[in-house]
Amino acid sequence: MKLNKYIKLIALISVISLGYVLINRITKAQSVSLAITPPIYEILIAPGKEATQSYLLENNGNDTLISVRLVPFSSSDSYGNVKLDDSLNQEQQLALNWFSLEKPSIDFNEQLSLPGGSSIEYLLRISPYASAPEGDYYFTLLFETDSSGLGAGRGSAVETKIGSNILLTVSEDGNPLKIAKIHKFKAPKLIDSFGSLVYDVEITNDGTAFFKPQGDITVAPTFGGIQLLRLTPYNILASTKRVIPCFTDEAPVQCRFQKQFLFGIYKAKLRFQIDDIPRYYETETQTIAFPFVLILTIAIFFTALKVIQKISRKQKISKDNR
Amino acid sequence: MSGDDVPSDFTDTTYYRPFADDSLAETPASIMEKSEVTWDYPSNAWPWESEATIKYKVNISAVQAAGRYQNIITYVAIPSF
Repeated sequence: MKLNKYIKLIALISVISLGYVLINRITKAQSVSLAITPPIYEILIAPGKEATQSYLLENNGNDTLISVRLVPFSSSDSYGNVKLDDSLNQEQQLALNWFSLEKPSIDFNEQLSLPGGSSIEYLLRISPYASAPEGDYYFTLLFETDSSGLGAGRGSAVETKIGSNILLTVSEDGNPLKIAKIHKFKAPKLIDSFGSLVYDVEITNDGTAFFKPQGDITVAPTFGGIQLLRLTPYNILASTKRVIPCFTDEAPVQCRFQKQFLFGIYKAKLRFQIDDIPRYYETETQTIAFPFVLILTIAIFFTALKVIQKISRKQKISKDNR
Repeated sequence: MSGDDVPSDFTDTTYYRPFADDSLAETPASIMEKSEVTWDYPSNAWPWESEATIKYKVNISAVQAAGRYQNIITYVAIPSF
């Protein structure tokens, strides 16, 4: 009886131990989740003046160590994507000295602990020297998690970087040189009535400061009402070009004339200004829409019908002759 | 990759893309991108977020020397300007 009790006790302990071991074998994946607000900061500042900008960094993943630094960037394509440049030129090296962290009281590249589920405010101060050269400076404020824990036998570690872009224009009089050029305004010359009429817009910035195009494409058809396609006011960096889509309901979309059946001549006029500068850039294009496919289908149908009629008539004549 | 905003060429679970080698200054491989504001579709409820799952695959050569190997996978999220 006593032995039976011992066996039961041992069995119970074994089950609990096994359960404990199994539960602790569940592997938890590394969770990476950082968020930064705002994602972009655009500033026009005079040399010798200063400005501050607040950033909120949220960690919705595991506890981590965070550091922050500024990395210059350039445009990587015509769609507004960023290419980080780790090598600094002389001007960028100089410009880096204009930035400092007012809050928290740490230096760039210095780490601080950010527990999971918490957030921290960074206050960035920008103060270009009085002798700062005029021009545009593009940086990404890059927040990086720590990966130095690697090396203790783990095979792979995850490092996260999240950035917020800074478009800085240094100008003494607040009127930097802003010049635009229409690089492309294209639509098909000839289109089928069942096709879609899409306009491609690409604008070049030939000035020394970034700008946003403000304008639209006006499409006037031979039949029907005029349509206004609004250009998305995307930033175009100095000495770069960018594809500009249109937008509806706060979302960028293709610049497309909204009609199911197109017929006649469609005169389109691209017209925009740079920021609020009252100088307009304009160009025009026109498209002829005709139901080629429909006409061709009808023509083929009637030709086939005529051929069939001819053949059957011939067969009838040869039958009658017999 | 599967989930929100993953490039369209991740057609199924057999598709993999090699990681860029940071030590060779290779261009990072794109795993998520979106031209519009991120939102939690289809419910469009706050918090707006895009979520995707990544699956790693390791190909080890038959002549690879035995030993302990390690790497760091870096995820970079930078908005367009």
